[in-house]
Amino acid sequence: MIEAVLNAIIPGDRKLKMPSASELDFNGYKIKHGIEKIEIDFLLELTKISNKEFFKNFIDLDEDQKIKALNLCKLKQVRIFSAFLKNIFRFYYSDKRVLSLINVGSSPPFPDGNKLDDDDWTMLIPVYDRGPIYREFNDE
Amino acid sequence: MNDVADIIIIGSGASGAAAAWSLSRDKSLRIVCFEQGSLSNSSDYPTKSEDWELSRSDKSSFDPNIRKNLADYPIDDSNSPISIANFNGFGGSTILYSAHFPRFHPSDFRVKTLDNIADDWPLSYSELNPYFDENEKKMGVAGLVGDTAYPEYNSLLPPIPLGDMGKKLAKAFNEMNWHWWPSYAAINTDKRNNRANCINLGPCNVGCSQGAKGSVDVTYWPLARLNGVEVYTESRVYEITLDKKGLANGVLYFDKNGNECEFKAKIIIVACSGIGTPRLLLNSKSEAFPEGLLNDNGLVGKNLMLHPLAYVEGVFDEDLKSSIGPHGCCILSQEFYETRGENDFSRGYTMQILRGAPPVEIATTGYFMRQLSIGKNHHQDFKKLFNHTAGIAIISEDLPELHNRVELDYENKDLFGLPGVKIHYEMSDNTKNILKHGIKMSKEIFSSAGAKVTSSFAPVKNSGWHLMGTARMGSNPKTSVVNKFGQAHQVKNIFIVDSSVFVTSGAVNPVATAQAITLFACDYIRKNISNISNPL
Repeated sequence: MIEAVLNAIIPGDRKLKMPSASELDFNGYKIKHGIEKIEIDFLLELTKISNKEFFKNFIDLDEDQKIKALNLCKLKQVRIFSAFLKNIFRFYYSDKRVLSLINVGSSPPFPDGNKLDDDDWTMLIPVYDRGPIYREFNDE
Repeated sequence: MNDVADIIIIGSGASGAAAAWSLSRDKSLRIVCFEQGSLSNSSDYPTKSEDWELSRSDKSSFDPNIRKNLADYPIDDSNSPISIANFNGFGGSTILYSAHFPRFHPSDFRVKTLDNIADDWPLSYSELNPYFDENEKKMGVAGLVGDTAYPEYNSLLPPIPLGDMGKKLAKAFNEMNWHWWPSYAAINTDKRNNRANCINLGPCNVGCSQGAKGSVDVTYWPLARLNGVEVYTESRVYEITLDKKGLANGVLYFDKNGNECEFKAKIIIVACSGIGTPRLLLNSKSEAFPEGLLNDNGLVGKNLMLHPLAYVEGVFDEDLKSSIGPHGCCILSQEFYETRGENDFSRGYTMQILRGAPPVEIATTGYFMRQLSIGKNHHQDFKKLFNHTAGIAIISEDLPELHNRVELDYENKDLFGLPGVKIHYEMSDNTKNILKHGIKMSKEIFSSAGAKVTSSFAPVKNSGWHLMGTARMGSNPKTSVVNKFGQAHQVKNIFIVDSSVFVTSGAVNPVATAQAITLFACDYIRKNISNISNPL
């Protein structure tokens, strides 16, 4: 079921060449960060909602129904939903493959850093031309 | 070695480090610094791995109640709209700060005279000016001289590059005819003092592995240790002791093995932050000070100022690579810093431009702010946000009020059974009006820059970094705890040198001013050491 959930939340995008969350190592993330209980609580809730609202298991729902079930879960159990979703975003957007695809610049351990262009400080002429804006007074 | 020092410094953060270096120039002195936290190793900072963002909600969180390191003590901030942020370790909160490093302005020291509010400081900008200069050299501050919001700076390292987002907003400030200037940043923009230069990453707030950020473990401390200052880490001072003459004669502390120990000293310097300093003083009860050390007038822990922040976020249509570069250092505007007659508030604020958030934060806040969906449009939505955003933090001047305070919390204790602290804080109407104005002006800037505002709110809950006012300085012992040199009115060999002594808060990050005050105080100590010291 977790594969279907991951695929529903972050599906792949061929045009942007982005992988689905289900293609990445969620199991490794889960073990490393000890979020088994968060996952179980969420899946139980989602199963309950799918069965009650759609009379089907989550994996048997179509794409729209899956999103509706997830949104219902958010409405009914916001804490459980939020805890799980935050972890999905953390898992997905800290994956090396994903980071290389989203124009994140240099990735850890940042061997090269990022280049920013030199600035043209004549941009400050209008500020300078206004003169001092701090309050001048006798400071003795 | 005997447990007797000429000077004990409690706390190794921004001010403790500056004090250690300043005093260690007299190499005849034995100086010992106690730090409750442990050493940080830059090679262990989370930015060495791709999942560095995750550490911000774990071991590198700036919220001690989330981080829960052994060195942290309980802080109950449930009675405050702003939660406390800090770091307890060698280098203090500079390990996690953004290194935004502007000075206070001349008017900040004269708010009573100029605006008839709060109190004037017992010292002036011109007295501190040489110490600001010296501190900026030691910390390595980047920026540009000639700022019209300040009297002239002497010299600075080359400024942090603006990036496309910074240029876009700078242009908008120009269109509004409002002040802006490249940030003052304690960040090496050139290789200097055995430290690398900044390579324009984003995550300064989890520790800088390059050592480009001027946290004091890489600025003042190497110099101070070279001069012989001893540092006892994982050693928590819980009481400053007094002798029969009423002078301080040492400290009691728990060592790293939990043993209760004593260390004697002729002078005690307290630099534990606006929360840690009152905690230590209030916990140091004696016959002479039954309500806590130096608290005979009831002012220790009072007048807490936190610099409430507002935040406005804008999204641009174009990819501006806005997440690249030091997150907190881009440009600032002090157009609305000084009191203006037409406003419904006194004093004012700084607008600090923040670069775009990193990927996990973009996805998470984007979703909960309804800017980004889950499902088939997720990647398109993400692409429209990531590297397209900018933030404006409005840092408001916070005025001292007696009811805003730090108290000991005997119900929540630390590892050693010492009381934690409870924060009582509420925002004044003046502060609320400042933040409201700041949000309105920030929206105007984003509109002028062609960005869509996606969120704006105040106060920002997790922003209580700037801890000030809880052992204020002044000339009158009835209305202050220490004099202009940080010297306690009631115990002449105790000095407080952190931002606890601030009379008012200004509307800028406090570290530059706290360190300048420390250097000023330490010059006084060095010149008067024979008169100040307890002969023991």
